[in-house]
Amino acid sequence: MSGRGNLLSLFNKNAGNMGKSISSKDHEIDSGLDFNNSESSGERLLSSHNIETDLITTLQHVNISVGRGRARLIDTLKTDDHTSNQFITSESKENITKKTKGPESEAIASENGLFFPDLIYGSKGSSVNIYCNYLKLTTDESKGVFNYEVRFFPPIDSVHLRIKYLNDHKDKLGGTKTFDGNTLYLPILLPNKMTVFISKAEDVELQIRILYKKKEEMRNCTQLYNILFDRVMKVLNYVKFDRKQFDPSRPKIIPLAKLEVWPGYVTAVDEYKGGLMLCCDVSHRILCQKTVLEMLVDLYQQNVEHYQESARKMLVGNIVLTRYNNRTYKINDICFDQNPTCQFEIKTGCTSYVEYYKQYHNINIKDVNQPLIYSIKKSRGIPAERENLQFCLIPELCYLTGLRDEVRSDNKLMREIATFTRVSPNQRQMALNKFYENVSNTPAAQEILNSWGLSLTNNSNKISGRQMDIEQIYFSKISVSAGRSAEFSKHAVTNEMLKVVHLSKWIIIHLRNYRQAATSLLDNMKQACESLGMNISNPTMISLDHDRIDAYIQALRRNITMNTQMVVCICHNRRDDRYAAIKKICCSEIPIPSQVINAKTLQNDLKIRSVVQKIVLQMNCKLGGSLWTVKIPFKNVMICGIDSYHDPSNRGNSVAAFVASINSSYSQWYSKAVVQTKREEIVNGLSASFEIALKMYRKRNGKLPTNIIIYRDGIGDGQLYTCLNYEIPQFEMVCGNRIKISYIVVQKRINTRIFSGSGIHLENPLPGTVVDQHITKSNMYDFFLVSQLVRQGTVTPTHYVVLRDDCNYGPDIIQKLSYKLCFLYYNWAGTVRIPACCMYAHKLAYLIGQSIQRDVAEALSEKLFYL
Amino acid sequence: MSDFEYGICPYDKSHRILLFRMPKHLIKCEMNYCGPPLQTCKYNATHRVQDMEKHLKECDYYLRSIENQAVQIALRSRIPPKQEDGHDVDTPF
Repeated sequence: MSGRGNLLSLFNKNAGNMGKSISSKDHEIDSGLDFNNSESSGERLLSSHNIETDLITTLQHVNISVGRGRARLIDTLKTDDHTSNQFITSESKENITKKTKGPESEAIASENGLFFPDLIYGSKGSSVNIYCNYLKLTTDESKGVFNYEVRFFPPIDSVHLRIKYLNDHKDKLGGTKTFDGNTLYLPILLPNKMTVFISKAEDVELQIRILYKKKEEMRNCTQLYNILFDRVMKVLNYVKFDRKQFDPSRPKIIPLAKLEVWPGYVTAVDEYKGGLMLCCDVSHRILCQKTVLEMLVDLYQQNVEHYQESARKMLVGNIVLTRYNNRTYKINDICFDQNPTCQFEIKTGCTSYVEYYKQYHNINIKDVNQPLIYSIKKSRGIPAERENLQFCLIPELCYLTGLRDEVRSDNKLMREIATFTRVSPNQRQMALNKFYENVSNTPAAQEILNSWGLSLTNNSNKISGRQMDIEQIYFSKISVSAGRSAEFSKHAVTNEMLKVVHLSKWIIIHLRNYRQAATSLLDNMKQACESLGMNISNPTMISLDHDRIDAYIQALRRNITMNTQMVVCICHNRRDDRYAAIKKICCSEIPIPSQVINAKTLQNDLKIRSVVQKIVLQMNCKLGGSLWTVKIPFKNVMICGIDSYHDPSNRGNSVAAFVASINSSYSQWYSKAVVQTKREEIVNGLSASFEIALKMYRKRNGKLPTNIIIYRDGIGDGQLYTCLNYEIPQFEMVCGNRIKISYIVVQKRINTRIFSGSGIHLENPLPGTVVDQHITKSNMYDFFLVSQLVRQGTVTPTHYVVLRDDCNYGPDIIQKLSYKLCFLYYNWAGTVRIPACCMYAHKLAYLIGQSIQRDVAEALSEKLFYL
Repeated sequence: MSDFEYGICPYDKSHRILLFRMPKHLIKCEMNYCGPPLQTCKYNATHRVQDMEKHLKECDYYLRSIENQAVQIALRSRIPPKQEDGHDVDTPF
């Protein structure tokens, strides 16, 4: 770390952390570090049956304060001991607090506590050949990951010293090791159960005892293997951003926008049903060729007065890269009162930034009057002791990364970027092979893997998947086949809708200039409605003189009456504040379905017909109607969807949305959103929402559902356990024993890619392709489903994890149901990538989080007002 | 981290936890808890109390939802506005 130099306050941190971390927890239990105590534990070593528990306690109560990946690895490895120990010592306690769980649900849980029944593979559908982006990892039988406990006599407190003394004997341990001060991992088994080394330390003889504990199981080693691949990528000269690795040597340049695109990989090792594998996907990172200083100068020239404000607004929160060391930093602030000639402290005393960069990086800073960028890096460790690292960076040397909003809104530029970032299945497979060759042909990379007994093979990525049958779409009068591509937009705009709500009393609010647009909207609507089976009466037209937010608000408040069904606002342009104001009034203050239309879309004569057709469909849904359905032959089953929204800048509150079906054709939904605390992913207020949804179901159907199926979006792998033990009990609390629950987590941000075809002619699999073998997780009941049709780039399959299946549907029904639900999203006449209930929940959470930020009127909850 | 709110763990008053991490903490802390059984609040599952009735009197989440319901009832019973010469009369809300 010392080479980084520009840290302001790192230097006292390590020592301080360590002393405190040791004393912070449970000092009454033998920590094994105290001199007197460890003598006694040394004695205990003799009585063999005590050794294990002793070691476990020792391990448990030593806090590790080293803030790097390695230490965290050891943390996770240790959790195993933790639980086993609890069983030994606190059996009686467990009995008291143990939750009332059915015996069968416990018997079929896998070792990490997740649901894992006997039957997890489906069989329905026709078989297809699938290729995937996984590389098989084989482990050498003679090697493994062996866990050792290291003790020092006399004891040494400093972790650094411990590592140093152990390093003296590195050769005798085989050269490769991972050591955090207490636990040692070696790829080899030492000949003796206890190995003793003697070191000389300041005239005292120091004894190092290395005690064999166990051979780690493969699933506990994946984190170590992931760290190894990080090292491999480092050897291959890749730069790490977040969890992805990018190649700085081959940027693709977009000269006009002064952007460059770095190609890269995202890799992850895990244990799958097909064994240990590396998932490897192509990724890209956008980098600005302009320095931050140039941007600041631009900003200054644009607006001298508010220059500092606008600079902060534009830059704070972005990630910059410094090319001299290829590291990334987040901009937390800009220090306008400082410049590169300011002094700061380093180990050897005070120096200025100018001198520092000259000395350490051989860079001459040209502009000595520029402000400094201030950046904080979170240091890992115990929260209470956490001291953040502060950096000051020179704008001249920093380059922004990622897409800025102004780039994102530039369609032409985004298309150009997409030509680089949108990768076809063939290109992906080639990149995967290239990665494999790179690793195989680099001796240093091979050595890292070989030292732990790992080797990559590139022949296991052909697997078998299943293609589900073609779905039939039911409209009010006729039914049509969705076809192989699962699309039916032509049918959707020409057939009578499933449930029509006639529009008899409604309002159009428009600016005076857009009278023309309003009338053409009305004409086209009437035309579209003929085939859709909807009757539209003439609306009350209100024309506004000014494009001011309060003018819209006043018009809404004055004109909405009790029997008004709907408001349509035709707006001059996209403006978030105006949209939010209209939605706040219409969703919360005066509950009424509302439709905001950008006038520009109505002025394009070529497109207006199809635009209006879609608007009519959407309006029918907002009024409480429904468009089409698929056959889901369940009786008395309620399907729910949950998703949450987080404010990207972490300023606003998070919103959790809950959507539940209230009829048997799954075309009517009850929707409820709850505003939660910031960054809260797990949902707290489910019980209350669920209770109301059940009441609504009973009102509509005359009885309660017997089963409920919940699709939960937005849960990462790390949160599965929390979800299982925190969200499901909230449902159980309401259900009691009357209603059975099936709970399925939906993950869409994954790195798995699957391709169909063969050889060098790979293409995207068709909608309805399921893979539930080989590449699914070894300890989960899960499957991948491609439900959407993708014509450009590569499709991302959706990962479904079944956390609970009390209703005993089995894999075939759950897979089929998940696919069917993807047809029911009414904003799109085709399939979407997640089940409609999740999509609705997502849409609702987004609207509430982005625009409304308060509770929505109950009167709208039975309508899809947020579409 | 200063932007985020802290809460007190209901199982151990000495645990001060960031609110968005509370669910994860509660699962762990519940395991080691041996006091009187606590009930989970329907309106916010991080609230675990002995006396639910007493809790609901002061639970912000419950009060908010009740308040919301009351507003809805009030809105539903509002009087339809009269029309004069085909124009809506201003209706106060």
